[in-house]
Amino acid sequence: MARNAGPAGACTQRRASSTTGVRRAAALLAVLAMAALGAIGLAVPAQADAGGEHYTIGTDTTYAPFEFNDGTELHGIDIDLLEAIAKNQHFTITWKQLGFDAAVQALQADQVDAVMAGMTITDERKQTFDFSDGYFTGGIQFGVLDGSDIASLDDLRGQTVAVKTGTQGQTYAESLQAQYDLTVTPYSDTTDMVDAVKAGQAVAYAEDYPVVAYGITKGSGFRLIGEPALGGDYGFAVNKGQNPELIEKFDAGLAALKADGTYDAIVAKYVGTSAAGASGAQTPPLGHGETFTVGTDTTYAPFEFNDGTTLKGIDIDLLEAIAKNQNFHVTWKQLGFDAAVQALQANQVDGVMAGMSITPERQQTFDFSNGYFTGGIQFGVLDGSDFQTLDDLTGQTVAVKTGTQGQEYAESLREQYDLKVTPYSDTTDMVDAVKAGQAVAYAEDYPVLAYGITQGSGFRLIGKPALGSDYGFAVNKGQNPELIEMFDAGLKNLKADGTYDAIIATYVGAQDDDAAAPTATAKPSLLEMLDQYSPALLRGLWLTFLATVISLAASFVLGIVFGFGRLARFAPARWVSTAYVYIFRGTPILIQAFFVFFAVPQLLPGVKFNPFVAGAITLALNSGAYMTEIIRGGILAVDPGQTEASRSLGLGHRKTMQKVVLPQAFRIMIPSFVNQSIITLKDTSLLSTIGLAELTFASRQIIASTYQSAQILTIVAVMYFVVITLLTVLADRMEKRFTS
Amino acid sequence: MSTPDTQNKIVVENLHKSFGDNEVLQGIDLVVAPGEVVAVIGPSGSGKSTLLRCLNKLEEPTAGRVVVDGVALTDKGVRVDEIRQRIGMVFQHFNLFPHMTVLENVTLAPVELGRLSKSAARERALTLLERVGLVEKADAKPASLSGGQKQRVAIARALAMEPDVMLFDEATSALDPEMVGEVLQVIRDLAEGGMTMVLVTHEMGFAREVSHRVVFMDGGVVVEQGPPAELFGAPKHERLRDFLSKVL
Ligand SMILES: Nc1ncnc2c1ncn2[C@@H]1O[C@H](COP(=O)(O)OP(=O)(O)O)[C@@H](O)[C@H]1O
Ligand SMILES: [Mg+2]
Repeated sequence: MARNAGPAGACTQRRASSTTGVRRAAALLAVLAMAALGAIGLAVPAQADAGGEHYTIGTDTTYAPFEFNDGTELHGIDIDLLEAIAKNQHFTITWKQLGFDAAVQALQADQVDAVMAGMTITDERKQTFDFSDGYFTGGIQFGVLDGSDIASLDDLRGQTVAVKTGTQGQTYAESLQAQYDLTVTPYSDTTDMVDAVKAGQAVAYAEDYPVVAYGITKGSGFRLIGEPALGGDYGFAVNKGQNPELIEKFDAGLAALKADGTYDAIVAKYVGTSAAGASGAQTPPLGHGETFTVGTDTTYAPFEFNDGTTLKGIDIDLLEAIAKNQNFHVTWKQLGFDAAVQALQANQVDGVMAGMSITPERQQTFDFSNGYFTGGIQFGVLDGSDFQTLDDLTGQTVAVKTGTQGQEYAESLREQYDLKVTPYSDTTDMVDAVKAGQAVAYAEDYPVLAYGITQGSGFRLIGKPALGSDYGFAVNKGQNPELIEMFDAGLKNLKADGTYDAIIATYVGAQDDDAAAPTATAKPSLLEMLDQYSPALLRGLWLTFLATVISLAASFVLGIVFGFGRLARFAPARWVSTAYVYIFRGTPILIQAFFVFFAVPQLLPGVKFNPFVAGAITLALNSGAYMTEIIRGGILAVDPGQTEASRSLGLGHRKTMQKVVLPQAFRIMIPSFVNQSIITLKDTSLLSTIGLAELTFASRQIIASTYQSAQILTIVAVMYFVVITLLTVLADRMEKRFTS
Repeated sequence: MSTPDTQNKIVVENLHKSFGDNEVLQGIDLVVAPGEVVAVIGPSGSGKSTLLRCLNKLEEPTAGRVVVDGVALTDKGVRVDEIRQRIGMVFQHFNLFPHMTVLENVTLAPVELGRLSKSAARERALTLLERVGLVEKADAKPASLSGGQKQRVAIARALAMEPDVMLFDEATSALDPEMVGEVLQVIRDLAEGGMTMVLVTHEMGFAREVSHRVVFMDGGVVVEQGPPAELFGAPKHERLRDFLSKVL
């Protein structure tokens, strides 16, 4: 369908060369090619076909299933969809597969007429570009092993799902936790999360579903279940004010394709199910003073929260203002998010207003208002810093969380602002990096940032939210349509008269004023933190203690078995024991833990451990290697004259060991045992990486939600110190008793 | 050699012992009659300790035969622990068990080997300690004893198994001079009591006084042996004369 209209073969696409999709290299090539074009004065001409206009469209190199090369041809939802729209609307297109960043820049430089590249419609981008209606809603979905029996969300009931800490995937999984009785296990990165499912530690993982789909095309061995959730709309973009007719054609073509089923066919071809999100038009009706009951969340600052006496927040103030504007009344029911959604389905409330993202899955059950708030990514900087705008970040380092939209966003700004983007594996590290001055800002979902600020995180937001998804007001499908109409009309009015901006500004700072900040409460004191979080920390400490004691006991047995093995006359016993010691002393304990947790279940199907068991096994095996050497060394350290004296009396080998050598060896070993016990106790902290919820894990979870890393780390360090010191004193006492 | 093994306590025939390439014993022949006290003398490194240790199989002979009480220690499958119960050994450095009291040191073997009940072992231990003059130290730990006291406890420990042969390897070499006498006295008493003994010693006067026969070793062979009066009075070999001139 699309033909190469340009005479300059160097820049025409539909080549098979960039299948590897090294995005950065491709972008560089594209920029060079464009520079060359510009220098010799060649523009790609918009040559009209007999039937209509011709457009050049920039797209990404490889972003399956939206655009990718199968070796010979460009494929994907974006490609097929736009080509179908072009056919429907009688225009022709030439693709330029530039890479995402380069395509966007090429658009700004008028090198292409439009961009079709899985581009999320965000408020920030809307300042530079005009977008079509959303043609696809991205979002989170669960991936399960292809060979598993799990076919729907219902099949996940009572199971464990893996998520990436701090992502929308986690948010989504946790929103389903109560409904499906899920155990949600957070991992710090994608690899661990995926491996957890492969190893049978979890049955599914939550991830941006295009990413899962991409993985599946790469033979990941997974399968998608459920429907995408928490999605942002993808749009077709032109430069602001330019080519408005192209947007019109796109929207008209999209509508036609949706009507005749072509759209569903294209999407189904790539992701198997139809997924679409489009926003409707507004019509302004009026209420008659009726009262509606609306369910909301308990605490989801800044959308809804109690300040001790009254319910506040963006959702609350906004719906109250809309009710006033449209002449109806609202009775709030603060139920918690899941309960509110269930109450709506049970008709116990008329609507839900709870920071609820508009997703295709939810759209099957609920009717949504227009989006009233777009979540998204923003930068947080230290409150005391001089940074006011994105421009101030020029040349600076920003911290991001690996694999998140925050990273995507920061990298999209990298060239423009000459940023150094440093990825961290979790929120805590990322935030701490800024506190420690390793970076000047971090990119994060801005409601989360705002929440942190209200918690006294000491940060400030700069820039504007990007890559966001829309929040909507929900009613049951087909019920209360007048409520949705009133909401949309009221929202429009509030936006027009400035009330909307005022409400938003109250909670997250004015959208157009970089300097405004959410109100920060005072930092909680160490004692308050201790009071609030000591139960969670003590639970962690208990697990630390339990893991230490169990693994030390086991490692002692291993040490005896292999320690004697190393001294045995029987050579194979020596070989096996020596190999054991060398293997477990010669590899890092973290690798051992990953091996036990992730690799063993793959190597030995049917064998799988929960994090505690895997952790205890790892520690026992690791510590056992050192115990072996301690026991061997202790036995060898006993004067051989002792053995000779005992043997010369006629006592056998066994009795000599029991009565003469071991009692003395044991005394020699005590200090080493104490030392190894302390090391093992401290090593438990490494097992937080496989999800063992010991003290370090507990502290990191708390830091992730409170941002009070200095306080929590102090408390945790003191807890470790006290426990270890107590154990040392106890061991000293024991040693004195034994040797006296 | 013409005497049957059963009439001698110890018979050593053509005993060889090597540590790697180092042949420490190069064909030793030795016979010890019941009740006989044999002193082994010789320069340091001549193989005296090695010979003694081959007699209770603390060292495995490389070749040759060792027969004690009619049992060939060098035969395959011999129950060496049983024979050792009949051979007491006293070491230069005492080798007392430091984590046990004096009494426990002495009762350990008889009790653990099922020879005596705890109380009977205790009775015998106290008798033996009485004999070596240390009954009041029964509950002390070895660390609190002097060298002479330690060695006397070590002798009592060896005697607790009622051996019929005692081996002494330089039992007084690690002692301060003023303590040598008390240990020699205990050994002298044993000799008078008719105990068969092999003593490796540097105490030439004592060897002359207490032994029936003196064996002079050098370079892994027995160079000369005979009654003490002959050996010390009229040494035949140059090497022995040489040695005696240095130690006397
Ligand atoms: N366990 C052993 N390993 C290697 N060489 C040994 C060992 N025991 C003794 N020797 C060597 O055997 C030789 C004789 O030693 P030893 O019997 O102790 O002599 P003596 O007691 O007459 O001084 C010495 O050269 C000594 O180094
Ligand atoms: Mg010696």
